[in-house]
Amino acid sequence: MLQRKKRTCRFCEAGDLFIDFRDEKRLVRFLSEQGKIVPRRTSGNCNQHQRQLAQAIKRARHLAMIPYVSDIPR
Amino acid sequence: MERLYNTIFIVDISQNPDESETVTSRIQQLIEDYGGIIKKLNRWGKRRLTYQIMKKSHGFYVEIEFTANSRLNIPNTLEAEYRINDRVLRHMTYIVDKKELIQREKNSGKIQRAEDRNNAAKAQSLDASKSPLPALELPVDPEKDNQSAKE
Repeated sequence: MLQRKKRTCRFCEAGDLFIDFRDEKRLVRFLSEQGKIVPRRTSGNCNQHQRQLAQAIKRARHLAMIPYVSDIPR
Repeated sequence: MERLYNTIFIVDISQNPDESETVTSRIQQLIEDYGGIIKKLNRWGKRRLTYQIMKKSHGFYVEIEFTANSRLNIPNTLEAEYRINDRVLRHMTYIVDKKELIQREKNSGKIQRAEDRNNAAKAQSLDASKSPLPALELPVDPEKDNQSAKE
């Protein structure tokens, strides 16, 4: 049987309380190729951090720091 | 209730590069006129927008942090100003969360620690660079000794 490695919340590991929308490099890691927010079951984030992350991503999107949609290059 | 606000706006500087300063001073004045106290002004500078806004691909980002009584309703006045001003491409005003402040303190601590570590590493590398020098000198010394011995 394949056993997937248990993912842990990276923000909890780092001991972060607040996810800043200003550092977009960090946010981009939680976006799919199309620019969608990666779900919790994939990223392994805890509930609190996933919600904060979503908030941060939405703020960064509004300020044109990260894209709402990005096309997949073909 | 006294609150800490943060407002970020993107100014279009494609027509006139000085536009960012005029808009910034206008917003600063508005905040102060209505009884807010500016704590921090941060110019992020000209940045590329990840998507076009009003057919513009670049904008000048400015961030202002200020405290004000929530009864003064400054965010609403700012909103009105941003909407009227057509040089402002985007804007956002939000109440700074306690968690964010704590995180900032933490990060500043982290940066401090990182600097300390860097300094320590530098000091170590200096020590390391110092140590090979005597090692290089060492083989010379015996020769000198030999020479002196020959002499």
